Amino acid sequence: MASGIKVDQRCIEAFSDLKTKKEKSNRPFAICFKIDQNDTIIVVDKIYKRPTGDATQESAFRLLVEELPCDDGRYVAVDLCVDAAAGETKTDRIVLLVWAPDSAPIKKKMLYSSSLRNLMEELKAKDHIQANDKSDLTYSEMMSKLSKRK
Amino acid sequence: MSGGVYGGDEVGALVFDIGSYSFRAGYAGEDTPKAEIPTNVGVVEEVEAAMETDGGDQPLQPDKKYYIDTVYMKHPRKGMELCSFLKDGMIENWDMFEKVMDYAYGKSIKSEASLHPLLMSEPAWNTKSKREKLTEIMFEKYNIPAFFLCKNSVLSAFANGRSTALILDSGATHTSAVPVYDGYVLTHGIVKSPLAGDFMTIECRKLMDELGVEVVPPYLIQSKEAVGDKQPPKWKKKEIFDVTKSFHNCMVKDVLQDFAASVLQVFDTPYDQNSVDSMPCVHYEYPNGYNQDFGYERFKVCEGLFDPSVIKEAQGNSMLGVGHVVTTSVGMCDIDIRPSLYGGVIVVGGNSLIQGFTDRLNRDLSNKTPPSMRLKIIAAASSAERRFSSWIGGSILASLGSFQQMWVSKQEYEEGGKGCVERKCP
Repeated sequence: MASGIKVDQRCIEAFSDLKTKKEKSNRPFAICFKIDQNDTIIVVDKIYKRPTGDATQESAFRLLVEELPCDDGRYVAVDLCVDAAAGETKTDRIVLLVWAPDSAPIKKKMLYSSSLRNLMEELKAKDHIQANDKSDLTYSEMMSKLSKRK
Repeated sequence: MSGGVYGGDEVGALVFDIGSYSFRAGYAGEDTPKAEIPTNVGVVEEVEAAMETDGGDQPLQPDKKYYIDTVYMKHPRKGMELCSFLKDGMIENWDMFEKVMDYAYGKSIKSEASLHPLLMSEPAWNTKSKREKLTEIMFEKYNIPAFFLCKNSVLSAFANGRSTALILDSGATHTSAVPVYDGYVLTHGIVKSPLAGDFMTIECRKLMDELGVEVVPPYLIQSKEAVGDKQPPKWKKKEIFDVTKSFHNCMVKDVLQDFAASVLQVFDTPYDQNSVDSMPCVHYEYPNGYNQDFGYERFKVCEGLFDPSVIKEAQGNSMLGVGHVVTTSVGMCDIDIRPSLYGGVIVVGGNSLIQGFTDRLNRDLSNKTPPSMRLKIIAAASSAERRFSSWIGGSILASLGSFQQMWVSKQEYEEGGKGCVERKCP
């Protein structure tokens, strides 16, 4: 069962930039998507640049989470470098976060959860992480979730 | 209007959601259902002895008269039996179901079925043959332009912003736990227990018998006088013909349901007489004027929901308490997804509105899950959201312009037959 909400072509392009651009410095850090135009289409809401200089991945991630609205949903594709277990190298992981906060109106929650499947198919994303309040999105929680997943 | 046309952004779709206690009907896009019709229907069989049949070879069918909706079914009638068209949450009596549908279209929605696409909910364990039969009836008999069938647990999960969750639904006839993963029901993990609303009214009934309180439903009461606490009630019986047993029991049940909703509370921890004695009493007045305070009984009656070992009958041991329903269901799912199920236990259903239900569930589950497991119980605060969660989910979905492509249209049904419901509404 799905909402039938379409995915804007630019979402697919942006996501493939995130996945494939070889130069890491050119790649975005995260892409935020939202459901727009009277609940008909998923569009790119904001592109987050990779942290430079002294800024760490952790602070960039925190900033991103801070900007998520409490009364509306979002999808966020984020490229995180995961500290690997001993003996393995660090790996880059792209993960799709589904933000449908418990504090949002029921309609928003319904829209974001029922449109997820289509977005994942269009982006060819394999995996997602569900987040319903900001405690689901602490940096340490995220790292532990990602390191457990293969 | 020609068949197969249901275009335009304003689809005017309808949403029907069948629960074990009531049938909810209304327009998609609205906040709450327009009508809530009890699944109990009054049936009067009128056997006309003197009637001659023309054919002769057809056996004489007694004429059945149906009384649907609260106002009609709760009015005493000679020979009227009350029964439900559902069994185990699924439609069992199709004739009666059609009568209820006729009523819903005619009296609640007040419109032609053929004008509105229809989204219906179904229990997670509904069978293939019943889904197909329903599809057939809706298209053939009601001539609806488009149809969609959704699992009520998936609707509840989505309405709570989750595509993976465990739906704990405590309704009238059963309490069920349904694991939903990525928007699909994991059928092998469904667990049901009869410890639910109807069980609570049976327990209340036992309590009344123990206390020697006669429960008189309002239909038998002509007048009453105010009496003091625990004083014998002073009331006059209404002169009325004999009603059927099922009608009387149903009316008594109504009183007990009201009693349960206003008096009962689930205790935070397993029941123990000493700590319960310090809790405040609640005063309750019966329809016939008898009134008294309830203390420890308030908690004792519902303990069985969470701890079936306290139920007096031997069968109590074979039933699962609410916490156990959840852990058993999660235990039957793949070990990798268990954390995400415990991280989203969604509580719905009218029986979960009993005071203290979620607090006790939280406690019982915390004790049974490893400390590393993040447990989160989600329960809407408003009673409408809890009772109608799947209707509201369906209402939002069916009102979306983009949802149009999802419907099974009349044309698709005509070309593909009733099997198309399996394909389009998995």
